[in-house]
Amino acid sequence: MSRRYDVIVVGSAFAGAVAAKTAAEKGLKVLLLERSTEPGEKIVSGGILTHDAFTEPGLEFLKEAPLERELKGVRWIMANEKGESPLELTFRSTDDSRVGYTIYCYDFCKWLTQLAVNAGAEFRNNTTVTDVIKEDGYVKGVVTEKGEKINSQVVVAADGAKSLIGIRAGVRRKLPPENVENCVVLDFTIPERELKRLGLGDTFEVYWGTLTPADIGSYVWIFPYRESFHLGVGALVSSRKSPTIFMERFLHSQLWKDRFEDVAKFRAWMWNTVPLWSSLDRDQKMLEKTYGNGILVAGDAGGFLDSFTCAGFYGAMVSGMLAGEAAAESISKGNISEEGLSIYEEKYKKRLIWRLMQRPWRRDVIAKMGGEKIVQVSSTISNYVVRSAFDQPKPSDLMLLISGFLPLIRYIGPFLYRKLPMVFNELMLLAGVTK
Amino acid sequence: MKYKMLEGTNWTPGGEFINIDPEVCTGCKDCVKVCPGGVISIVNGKAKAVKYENCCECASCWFVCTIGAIKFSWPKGGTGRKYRWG
Repeated sequence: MSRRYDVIVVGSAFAGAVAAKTAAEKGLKVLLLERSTEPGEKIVSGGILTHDAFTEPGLEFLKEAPLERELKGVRWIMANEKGESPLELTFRSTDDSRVGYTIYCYDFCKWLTQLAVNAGAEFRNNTTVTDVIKEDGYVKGVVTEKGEKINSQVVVAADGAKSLIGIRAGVRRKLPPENVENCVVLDFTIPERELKRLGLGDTFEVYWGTLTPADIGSYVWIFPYRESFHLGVGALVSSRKSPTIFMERFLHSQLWKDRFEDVAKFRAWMWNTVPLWSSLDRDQKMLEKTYGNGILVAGDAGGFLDSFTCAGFYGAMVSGMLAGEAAAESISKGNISEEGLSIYEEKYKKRLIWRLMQRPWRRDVIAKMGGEKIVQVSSTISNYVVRSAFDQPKPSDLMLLISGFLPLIRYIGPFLYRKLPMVFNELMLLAGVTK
Repeated sequence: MKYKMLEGTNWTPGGEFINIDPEVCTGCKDCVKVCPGGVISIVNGKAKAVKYENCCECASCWFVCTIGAIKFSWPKGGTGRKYRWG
């Protein structure tokens, strides 16, 4: 008996575990490989599992998932580089079904992997895949770091933003540095009553303004968990700056000192890279392939993310599920060529994820709004307006905030007339106000 | 700094998985600048990964190096950085 599997899944996180579970439920012989000891140990959470995942057909099992905190709104906070006199705007979901949940990757992926094992998949940890077996233009299995060759009919590459397996197989290319964001995340514990006092009981926060420069695609976020929160900030790799610079700036800001320093207890400091790009060009054409002869690419590795928010949990799980289905269907038809596996693309194009992948790319929106420098200048002006005009900023101060942008209208005016409704619509979608 | 970088995570050595080709490297320092952990240093005008104990396997160095001097792979199975609160 040769060591041959129907499907080998590389990476046991959001995409991989769901792919293995789905394929195993279809009666396939599945091997799920994880390079770490426990699933979910190698990834850093951006934070929020959106409501999209819970309404997706096929992902109903998520009702039992280990969730941390239900979130119903987002607060935008604009502050200057010292974090003084921030302007706040809160958007709240008007629909109870449109909520998100924060999750810890470790708890969540461990749970997902257990589901895959229960479905009959074979799980092997501490195993790093270094290469694929390629014969006659087909991917026919994987090679582990110990030199062991394991054969399969279909390989599902769910190895994250770096997509090393997809690159090895010749299906994808390395992401360019302007499409990758490196995110530093700090985990803090905090009593629940303090979270509620700070207005983080069911709301997450995003900080804009010169405190976190938009020209490098950077903003600070705070995602509340059950009795803890994640503080994160990203920086584009192409900025050639480390995001820790902005994290330190934020931790020295007045805002942090006033609100969190006395109540939050530091627990962990970590970072990782995320893709900012769903591999779609401006004509909605896929620039990178998500499948090839004997291989399917799922999750961040395949660019399955919301191009505007960069949220990837939902995309990873739905693409994993569809990869499992596509593998099962192609194997049963006996056609695992690129053409046979193209049913994967047909499947995801029918799902919500495809629409999310087509959303305008955040950095594109910033760039089109008159260039990165202008955004920087306008946030400086806004901060000036905010600082000079208000002691206690209120949401109704939005008009004055907008007036901060007025001097720039002759630069960005033509763009605003055409694109502002689109930008506004995206913000509303993000806040969960509209659908 | 009040909070210590990488505190609260576990690390076990997993070999040398960031290989920089000195023939191709121009010593432009981009990889040194993007690395949050200060893993890479310039040795004799060429980049070299020297401080693996600070590496989070984010591969920023690999992404930023568009001339292809850096070869990135994963540390050996079960080693490298691990997060409980990721």
